Amino acid sequence: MPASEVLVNAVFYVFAAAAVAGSVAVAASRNIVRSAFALLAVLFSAAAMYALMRADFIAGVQVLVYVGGILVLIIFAVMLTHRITDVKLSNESAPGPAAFCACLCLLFSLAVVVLFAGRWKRGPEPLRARAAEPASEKGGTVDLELLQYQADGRTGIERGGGTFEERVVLEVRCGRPPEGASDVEVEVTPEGGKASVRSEPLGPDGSARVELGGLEERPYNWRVRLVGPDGRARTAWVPYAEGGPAFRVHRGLTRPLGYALAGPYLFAFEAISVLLLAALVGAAYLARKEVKE
Amino acid sequence: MELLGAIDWEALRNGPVFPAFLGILLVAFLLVNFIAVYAGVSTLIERKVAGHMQARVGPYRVGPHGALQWLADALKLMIKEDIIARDTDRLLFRLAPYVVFAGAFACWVALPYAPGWSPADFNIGILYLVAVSSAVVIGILMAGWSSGSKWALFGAMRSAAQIVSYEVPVGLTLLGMLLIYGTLDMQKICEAQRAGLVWGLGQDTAGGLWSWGINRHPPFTLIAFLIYFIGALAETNRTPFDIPEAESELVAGYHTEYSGMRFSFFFLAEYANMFVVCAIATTFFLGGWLPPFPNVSAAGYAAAGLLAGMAAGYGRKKRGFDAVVGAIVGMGAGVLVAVLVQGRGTASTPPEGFTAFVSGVFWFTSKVFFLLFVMIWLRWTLPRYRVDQLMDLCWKRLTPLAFVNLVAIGLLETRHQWGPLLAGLFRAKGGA
Repeated sequence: MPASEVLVNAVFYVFAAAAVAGSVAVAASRNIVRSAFALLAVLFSAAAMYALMRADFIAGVQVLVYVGGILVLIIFAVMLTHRITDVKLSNESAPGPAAFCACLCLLFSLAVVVLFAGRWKRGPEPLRARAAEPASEKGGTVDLELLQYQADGRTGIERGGGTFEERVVLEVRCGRPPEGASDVEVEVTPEGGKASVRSEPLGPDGSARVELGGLEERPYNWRVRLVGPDGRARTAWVPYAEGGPAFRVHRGLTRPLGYALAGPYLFAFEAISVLLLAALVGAAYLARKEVKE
Repeated sequence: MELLGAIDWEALRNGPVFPAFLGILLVAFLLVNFIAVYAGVSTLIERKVAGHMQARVGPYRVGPHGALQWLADALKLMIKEDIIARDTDRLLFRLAPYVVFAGAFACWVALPYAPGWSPADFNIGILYLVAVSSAVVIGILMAGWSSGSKWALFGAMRSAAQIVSYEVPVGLTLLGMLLIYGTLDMQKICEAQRAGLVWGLGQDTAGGLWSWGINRHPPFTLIAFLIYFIGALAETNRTPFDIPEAESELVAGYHTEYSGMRFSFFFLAEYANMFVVCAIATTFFLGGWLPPFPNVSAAGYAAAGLLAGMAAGYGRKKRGFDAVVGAIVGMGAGVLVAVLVQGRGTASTPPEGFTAFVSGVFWFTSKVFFLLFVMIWLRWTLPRYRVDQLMDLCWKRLTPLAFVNLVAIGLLETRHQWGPLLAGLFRAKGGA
């Protein structure tokens, strides 16, 4: 295992343990102020896990909103409440067997979802395509699997998806290469630009990886074919995506985020702001002075 | 970057665990030590500047002109007795300095020190900085509450309220600048200022101070800079916003009950935070690591150094001899700056390799230290605000101004789309 993976795993377990320990402290502490401070560990660990899943923006927003906003608010509320630390209102009653059973049920359903229902895959869905063999007399076909990855070579990019780095890794898998095919030719076309062709030898397992570097900020499409050592085509061209871009390269994060929030997620975004408005109205109502008639 | 190029980060990342872990530790170790030395030196600068502004000499006994005073201070703090009062919440009392320091220290890894060189290269740079620094607020509240002292609690409450409030105008001004740059990445923000619109009039491609963020859409970008700087003063609890530690009212604010090493952690975090806010201002408004005059040749720097040295030498004792000495020294300094710091490149071919690294670090830290000096200067110039005045300034003046600024910058950034939009509107009217 390369160092980066070991370190990522270690960091994951550290933060997972911190999240669990923090949650236990929130629930079990007799002192409500300590409970509020223990939330810090939980919220930070959640952010760290988002970051480990390459969801940097969500991680940043998690810390900004929950630690910088909500948690400060909670601590303020707890501290401003009169003599709150004298009253042992945090979990005086011991949790009964009913609560224990309810927690077990929740844990069980969570485990079922994680194990059976969720599709927890990091790699991309391979695009399966059949390439015609013009060279063979029988008119046979070759089955190809095309994949595209982020710059790390492990995390997949879905079709039409975006990347924020200027490097992308393309992979071609070929179960049974046709006779005489030794190389893969990849033709990459930026939108409104000139196509460039790269060729890479097929490995012993019939697959090849091509690393693209120095990509510009625009949509890209690509297609592949197998060629022989003499440079003659063994199969016809197989496009990765027809009619649309295979992947988009973004320079900054703000533009795609802005389009996403003002496009597909507009309704969710506006619904949340209505919720916040309701909270604001409630706070203003609670904070105003009672007018006696 | 021959110096740093000696380390093959790619190989480290894919190699065995131990060296990679060691590499990360090394970066963290260097940063922590740099923060310690920087904080020490800036306390000395602060005291010296304060002294000269009040017609005193400041610390003078330890070392030449008191230059080693900060080492003596550090030694004193380290060997001082660590007192924990009876009424404290011991766990939180001990934890708080680390939370505050971690929040301040974590910001340092995302700053752009030189072209292509940040300890951690973040896609979400500025969002990370704004988010992580919020840990400081939690730490301050923790310190204030756990001390079991009303001075500390009042200080912590004031500080947290102040930081949370001033995050609003600061966030809005940064948002306006992000409309211009279109990226959250600190390195790319610096790079984006190499060429750009000057005063909303024409393009500049030389990469000098004209294309920096502050000169994009005056007066709005200049107002944004001022709002950011005022907010930064408030967020770091500096005068005129040092209400949380107002000595005459609250003893020392949230760290009243701390002594020795624990106190020095708060101290370090405060100075580390000052550096971070100045670094963000430098990156967003003052071109980050870009040199201000990329077009000026070595001869230009030498001439400027000569004139400045001559003026300084003559001004000192009004003697011709001093002017000559000053001119020679100034010219030498100018050549040194030009050769070492400007980089060997010109405007059309930016410097590369080691000279780019040195030039970047020099200009970045120079700009940051200039802003730090302004902060110190203000501390010994302005009186302190009252709490209600502080909140009034934030919510009734700066926040509305920041909103107007944001809209104005947004309109100016989309100016190319006004024409078609208006034309479309009129055509629709004419058709109907």
